[in-house]
Amino acid sequence: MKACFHYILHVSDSIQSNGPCCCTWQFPMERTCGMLQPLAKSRLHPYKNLTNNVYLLELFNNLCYYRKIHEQIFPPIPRKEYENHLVYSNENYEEEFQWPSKTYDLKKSEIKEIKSHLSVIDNKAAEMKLSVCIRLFI
Amino acid sequence: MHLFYENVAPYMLRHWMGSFFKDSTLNNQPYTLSNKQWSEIGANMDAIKKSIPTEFGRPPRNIFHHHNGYKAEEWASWITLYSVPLLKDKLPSVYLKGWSFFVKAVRLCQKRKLSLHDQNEIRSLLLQFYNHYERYVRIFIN
Repeated sequence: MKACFHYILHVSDSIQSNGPCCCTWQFPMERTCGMLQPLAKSRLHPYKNLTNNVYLLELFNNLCYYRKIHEQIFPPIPRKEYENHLVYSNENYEEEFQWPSKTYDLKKSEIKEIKSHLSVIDNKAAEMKLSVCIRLFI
Repeated sequence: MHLFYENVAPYMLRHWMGSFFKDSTLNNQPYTLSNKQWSEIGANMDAIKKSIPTEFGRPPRNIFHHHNGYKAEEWASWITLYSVPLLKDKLPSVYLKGWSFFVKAVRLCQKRKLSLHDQNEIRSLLLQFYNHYERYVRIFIN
């Protein structure tokens, strides 16, 4: 009989002394091995090569504590800012909602119509300059 | 957990496939399934590939063809999800029952939190599986 069938009798003892299986299982170790494997590239001195590569990687991980150098190597990406009337966003919401927009040139007759329409609501509109009138309309 | 996934499950599969012993005369036991039955099971696994929800992890691979290349995670899903329904009606009920003790124990072991009751149950289930193995599977070796 294979020995592993005997080992299963000790599983519950192991759980009692070491906690649930997910604390002690092999998965994280296998993952680490998977990360280390591609780092050893040299065939002549694999262990030396591996140590050097792990050291180099760890240096990179510690780089964030040297702010000046870190910013030189990884320049911070400026945050995009949009105008309020073009983009709608919420504080609790990561995505931004953009209004469907399109540039459109008004014809003179259309401007006149808009003006006359607004003048019914507000007398001042008739005296306004074109650009002001249109912004008000939007 | 890799004891279950990488040792016990493949050995049991080899028992059922009839490739456990080097001496091929020992391999013909009441619990061995024929190649035809295994290819049926494999075809079933291929067929359900597309209807497996992502919650269950990777879709199953055909165990008949790929059991040598199975990863621990695939063994885990083979034990807990696919083995019992696929082996039902094919394996004699005594062996299926013995295997189901093991399946239940593995399911309990996968829980993140274990109560004392769970722990005792794991102990008794694994003992039951062990007894089953000694009584029905191992007896033919001697």
